[in-house]
Amino acid sequence: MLSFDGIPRPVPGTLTAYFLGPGFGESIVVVFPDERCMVVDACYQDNENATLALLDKVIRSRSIDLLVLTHPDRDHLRGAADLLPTTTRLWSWPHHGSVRRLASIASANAKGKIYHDLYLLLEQLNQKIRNGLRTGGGGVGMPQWPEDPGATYHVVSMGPSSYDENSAGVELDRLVEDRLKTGWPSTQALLDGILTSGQAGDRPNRLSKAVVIEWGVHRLLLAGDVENRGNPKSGWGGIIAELLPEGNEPDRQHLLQNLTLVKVAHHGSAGAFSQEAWNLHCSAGKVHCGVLAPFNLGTNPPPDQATLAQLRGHINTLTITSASGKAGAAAIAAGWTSVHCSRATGSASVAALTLNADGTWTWCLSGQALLYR
Amino acid sequence: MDITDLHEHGLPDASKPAVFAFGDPDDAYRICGALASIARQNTDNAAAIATCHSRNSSWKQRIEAVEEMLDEGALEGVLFIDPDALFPGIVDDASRWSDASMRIERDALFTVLVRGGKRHRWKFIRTLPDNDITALEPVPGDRPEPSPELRPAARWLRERGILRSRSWGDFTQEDIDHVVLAGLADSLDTALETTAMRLALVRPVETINGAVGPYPTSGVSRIVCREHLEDLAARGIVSVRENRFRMPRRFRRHFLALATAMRSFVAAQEHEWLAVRPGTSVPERHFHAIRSGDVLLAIGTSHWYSNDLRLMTFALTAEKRFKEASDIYDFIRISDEKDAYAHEYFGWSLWKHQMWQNDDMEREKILDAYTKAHQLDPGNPLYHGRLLRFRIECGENVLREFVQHVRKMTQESRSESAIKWFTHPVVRIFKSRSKTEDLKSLEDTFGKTLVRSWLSRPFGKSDVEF
Repeated sequence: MLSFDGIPRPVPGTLTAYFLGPGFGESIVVVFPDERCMVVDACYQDNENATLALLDKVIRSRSIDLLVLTHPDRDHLRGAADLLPTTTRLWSWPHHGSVRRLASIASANAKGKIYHDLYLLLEQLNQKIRNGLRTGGGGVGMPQWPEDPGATYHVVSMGPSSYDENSAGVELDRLVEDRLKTGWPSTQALLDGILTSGQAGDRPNRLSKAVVIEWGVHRLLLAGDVENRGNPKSGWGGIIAELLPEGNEPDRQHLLQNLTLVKVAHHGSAGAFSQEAWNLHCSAGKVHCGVLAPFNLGTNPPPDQATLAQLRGHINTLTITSASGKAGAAAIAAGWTSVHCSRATGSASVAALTLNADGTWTWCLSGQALLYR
Repeated sequence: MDITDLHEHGLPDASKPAVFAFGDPDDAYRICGALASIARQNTDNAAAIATCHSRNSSWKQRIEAVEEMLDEGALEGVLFIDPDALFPGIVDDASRWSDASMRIERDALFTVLVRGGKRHRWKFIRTLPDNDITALEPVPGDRPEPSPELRPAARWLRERGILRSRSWGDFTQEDIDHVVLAGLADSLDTALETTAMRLALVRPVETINGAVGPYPTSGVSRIVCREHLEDLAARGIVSVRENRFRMPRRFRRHFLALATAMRSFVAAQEHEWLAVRPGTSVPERHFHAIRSGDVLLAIGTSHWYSNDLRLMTFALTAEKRFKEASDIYDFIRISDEKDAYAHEYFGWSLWKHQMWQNDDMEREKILDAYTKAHQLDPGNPLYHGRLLRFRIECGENVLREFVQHVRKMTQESRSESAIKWFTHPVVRIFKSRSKTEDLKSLEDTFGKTLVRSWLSRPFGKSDVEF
C-alpha cells in the first residue's frame, strides 16, 4: 500500500503542488491558497491509484474543483475514472467524443484490448457531462478558472493550438467514416493515428493540453505532453503564435514568461523540446524550478541525455519524480548534480512544492524522487 | 438548366409519384426502374420499359433503355432526383471494383438525365445548391465554411465555444465538415448517438430526400423518444417541423458510418425490424434485408439491385460465410448469364466454402463456373489463373499451358501486374502442394527471382480492371 508519510499537508494561504510520477504515468495535484483543489491527469503506482491515495492520505478530501485531462494516453489516464464522481468542473482535451468512438471500436478488437479502460473512462465522462458536469477549458490563453472575480489566483488553458485541434478532428472523424468507405480501419491505424499505445516516444501528442497557474509573483506551466512538431501552427509553435493578439485581443505571451516552475513536457523527450518556447520562458532569466516525470518503460524511454543537457541552460533546479531508472543516470551524464532537500519517508514517488505568497518555496520529496542542480 | 434550391421553394407537387436518390449503392438501378414506372408508355418505348423492369437486364442494357425511353416520350409523373445524392462522396475510392463500377453507373445515369432534362425542360432540384454538381468541389475563398447542411450544427457549437475557426483557412471545406462532426461527437452521449444512428438507418422511400426525411416522427416512435429528437434538433443534426423531421445527408452518412463501425449489432437489429415492418415496400425490404444480412430475404426481394447484393457478398466473405455468398452469386449468375464476375465468384466462394468446411468438392460446379467466367472474360488474368489452379487441384497437368500463356502475355506486353494476377494462384498451388518439379521447371524457364516474386500477392490494378 502506498504511503505518503512525511509529505506536507497543504497549508491555507500557500499553494502546494504534488507531482506524482512513478515511471509510468504522471499526475499533479494542486491545492490553492483558498483550499480549492485541481488535479491534472491521474496515475497508478504499485497497482494503486496514486492520485486517489494522495487525495485520501495527504489532502484528506476527494473533492476536486477542477480536473484537467490533458490528452488520451494511458500513462495520463489510468485511474481518472475514480476521480470523476467527486469532480465538479472538467477541462478535457478536445474531441474526447471521437476518441471514445475510436476506443469503442478498437477495444472490440483483440489487438485493441488496452483501450477498454480508456473507453470505460470516456463512457463515464460522457454520462457525467450528460448529468450536468461543467466542462470547458478549450483554447490557448483562455479561459480562466476560477470565474469568481475575487480569486487571488487563476488557471489558464494553454493548448492545443487551433490548428492541432482542427487537424486532429479531421483525422479522428475520417477514421470513423473510413469504416463505411473502405471497411475496418485497422487497429494499427488507430494506434498510429491519434491514440498511442502507451509507449511514450516522440510521437506527436497533437491533442495535449497544458495549463498555466498564476498566483501573486508565481507562475507555473504544467506542460502536459505538448510537443514541438516543427510546424509553426502546431505544437509549441502554434500555442505561441496563438498567444499573439488577433484583432482586439491582448498579447498573452507573458503567460509563458517569468516562470517559477515548468513541468517539463512529455517526459523530457527530444520531440517535446522547443527552443522557441524555452527562449520565451527564459526571456527574463532562467526558470527557477523544473519537474520531469520520466518514462521508465521500454528500451529507449525519455528523457534523453541531450534534452537534459539542453534543459540545464534554462532551469536552475530539476526535480525528477522517479530517478531510479535510466532518467537519473541520464541526468548525471548530462551534467546535473543531485542535491539534498527535505525528504519524507513515504513509499510513493512524490515531489511536493509549497509556494509562499512572499515568492519563496520549499521542496519535500519521497520515494524515488530526486532534486538536481 | 433551372436549378432550384429545395430549401427555399419546397416540393413542386408531392402528390404525384416520386422517387429519390439517397446516395446508396442501389440508386442508379432504382432510378432506372422508377423512370420506367412513370414513363408514358407507347409502342415505341414498350421494349425499353420492359428492359428497365426486367431483373435480367444488364446495366448497359438498362441505361440504353432509359436513354431510349426518354427520347421517345415524356414522363407521366414527377421524378425527384437529388443529383448530389448520386455522388455521396465515395467516388474517390477506386480501390474496390464495386465503387469504380458504381461511379461508372452514376456517371452514365447522370449524363442521360441531364440530356433528358435539357430536352424535356425539367426542373432540377438541388439540396446543396451552393455546391458544384459532385458536391466534392472545394468552396473558393480563403476561409472555408462548413457545408450548408452542417451550418446549423456549426452555429450551435460556436455558441458554446466548442468550434475554433482561427485556423480554418488551412483546411478544405470537407475538412471543416469533419471538424464540425468531431465537435458534435463531444456533445452527444451514447444514448443520443445511438438514436442518431438508428435514424440514419431508416430510409423511407416515400419521402423527399438528399438523405432522410422529412417524415412523420410517429413513423419511428419505436426507435426514437421525443426528448432525443428534440436534443438532436437543438444540435442541428435533424430538423423537426410539424411532427416531421429530416436528417441531412451529410449527417446520415456520418451516423451510418458510426452504426457500421460501432454498433453493428444495433444496426443489424434495426434493419431486421425495418425489413419486415408491415407496409414496407419491396425495394425497401430489400434494402434492409441486405443490411441485416438476411440472405434469403435479400434474394427474394431483389429486383434491380445487383450492386447491393454484391456488397452483401463482400460482407459475407469477410465473415467467412462463403456458402451464403455463393448462394447470392448463384442467384446473380442465373439472373444474368453474361455476368463473368458472378460466375467467377460463385466458383470461388463455393471453393472457399468447401475448403473451409473440409467438405467434398463440388468439383464440376466449381470448374463449370470458373470456365464460364474465363470464356466470358478471356482477357482477365485472375479468372484464367484461378481456372488453371483449380484444374491443378483436380489433378490435371497444366504446366505447358501455363508457360505458353505467360509467354503470350509477355509478347502482348501485358503489365507486370496483370502477369502476376495470372501467375500468382498457379505458383501458389505448386508451392502448397509441394510440386517442386513443376516449380523447378518454371524457375529454369523464367528465372528463380521472377518465379519467386509471383508467390507474393499481386498489387496495383484490381482484377476487374483488366
